[in-house]
Amino acid sequence: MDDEPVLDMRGVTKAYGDARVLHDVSLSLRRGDRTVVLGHNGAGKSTLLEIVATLRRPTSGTVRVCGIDTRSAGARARRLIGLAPQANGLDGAATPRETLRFHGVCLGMRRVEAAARAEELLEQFGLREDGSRAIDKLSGGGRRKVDLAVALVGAPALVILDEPTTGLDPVARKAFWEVLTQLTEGPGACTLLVSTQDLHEAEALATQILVLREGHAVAHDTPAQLKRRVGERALTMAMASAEAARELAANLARSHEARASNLAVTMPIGGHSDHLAAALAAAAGRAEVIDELHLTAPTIDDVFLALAAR
Amino acid sequence: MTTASASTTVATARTATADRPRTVAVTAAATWRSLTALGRSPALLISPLAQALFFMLIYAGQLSTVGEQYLDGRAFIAFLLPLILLTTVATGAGAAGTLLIKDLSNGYLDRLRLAHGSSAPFVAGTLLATMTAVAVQALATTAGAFALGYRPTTWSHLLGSLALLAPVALAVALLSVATAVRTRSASATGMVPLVVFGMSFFTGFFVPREQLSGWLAAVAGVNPLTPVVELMRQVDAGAVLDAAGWGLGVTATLLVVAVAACCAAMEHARRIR
Repeated sequence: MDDEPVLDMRGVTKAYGDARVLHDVSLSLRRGDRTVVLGHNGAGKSTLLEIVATLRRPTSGTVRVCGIDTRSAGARARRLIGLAPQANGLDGAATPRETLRFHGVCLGMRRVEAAARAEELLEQFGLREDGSRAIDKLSGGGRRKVDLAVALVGAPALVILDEPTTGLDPVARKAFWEVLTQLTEGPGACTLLVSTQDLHEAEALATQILVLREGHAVAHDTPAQLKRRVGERALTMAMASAEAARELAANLARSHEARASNLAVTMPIGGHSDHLAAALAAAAGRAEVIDELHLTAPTIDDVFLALAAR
Repeated sequence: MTTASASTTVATARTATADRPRTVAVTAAATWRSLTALGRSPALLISPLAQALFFMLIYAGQLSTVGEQYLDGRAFIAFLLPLILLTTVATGAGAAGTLLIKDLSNGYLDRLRLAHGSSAPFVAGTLLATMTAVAVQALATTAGAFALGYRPTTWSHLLGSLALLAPVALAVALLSVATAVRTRSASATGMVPLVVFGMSFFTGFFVPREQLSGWLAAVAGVNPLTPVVELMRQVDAGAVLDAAGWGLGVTATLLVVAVAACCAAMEHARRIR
């Protein structure tokens, strides 16, 4: 059972008439995965999430949640999915307690079961004291916790979140990432599928990133591998003069790749510690003409610009 | 929470939700939720009532000496009441679409549909809650009419006249829901009760239809609300029900059209997903 993917999506295409929003997208998630979907506006992120959540039907392809086909056994598949859509899709005038109990009943729980589950979730998310306040009156972080708690009422195997920390301050955002990470650990762990425009959120949260561009899945890998794919670490030295830059580059180029550009000398390091050692040794010998020294690495922004941007 | 109890809790929650549609229970919960939402939005409940009481006060107060000739000595308020009740329930029934548009536009209905598998219980709950509110508004309006001198010929005549409002209110509520689902526009949804309200002035509002002349008589002659109001007046007065054929026919047609519109809107929403 643990070997079976929680989400198995194969060859999913979504078209509206002649307009294709998703092209032959495949994705497989295992228990405990936290997969973030990155892409430009209109890349198909929300459509992908809605298809997985069974809110939209794919034009072709299959989606299985814990082995259950979402088209032929949609009701059974939906029991395994929790959804926290963009922008607080909740009744703001209702209280967290009312909302959680109502969702429990909607999922098929008896009222007593739904009430007990609501209290568990209020306790788990530290919302017990706010359980009887209107959701609109809670802080941004509190509202997002309620959103997440509602998605977890049925203890789903797969939780889908669309831009979960939009509008939160950096402290609340970090705390929310910790909550999401804990959900994917330990017994009863679930799997997360997250869409976000926040690249730092993607980096902080993701065990895997799926990159969409114009409806195509162009990459699916760990954040570290994606960064290696778009570039490598480099040592950049800002020299005092163009002549010094050319001289140092020529010196390093005898044994390593190095190039000079105006006042800068750049030496790709990659994963090789001996290249770094050689570069630093050469730099030490010319320290009097080096103004600055930087060790740079591709960032998630570079990944986005290289793979996801139109 | 300990890890052992977390695992037990998850297993319990998953079992509790497994394959149990419980549509009736969900509809009941959705109705209660919509009633609570109405209670938290007093404007939706009170404004149709306030509008009705205002018009009754003004019209009965200013036109009573002119209007009493139409009802063999009964107070003019008895002539006005059926149409005022009609506009009250139409305005109140429009709350169904207003309640639903919030859930549609913020994605909450999608979450509910994901939880249950169908949006039908939530739409039904909204309709049931709205009809409950409309019943309260109709009774409150009638109580206001009592305070202004209305007296029914018999209680059964009054109840019969009120009963004719139920299918009209349901039809307006369904049309409001259909508009909300199809357009996802709060302003378009709000137009539904306004159209009924506007149409009400082109019936025999202050005088019997036979006393209208010119273009207004022609418009009243084709206005579908006219036979409905005339039938309500005849039932309330215990008079001969010569408007029964057209009145009941229009009401039934309105209800059928409203049900069809609502089903078509929901089917359209399902198809474009």
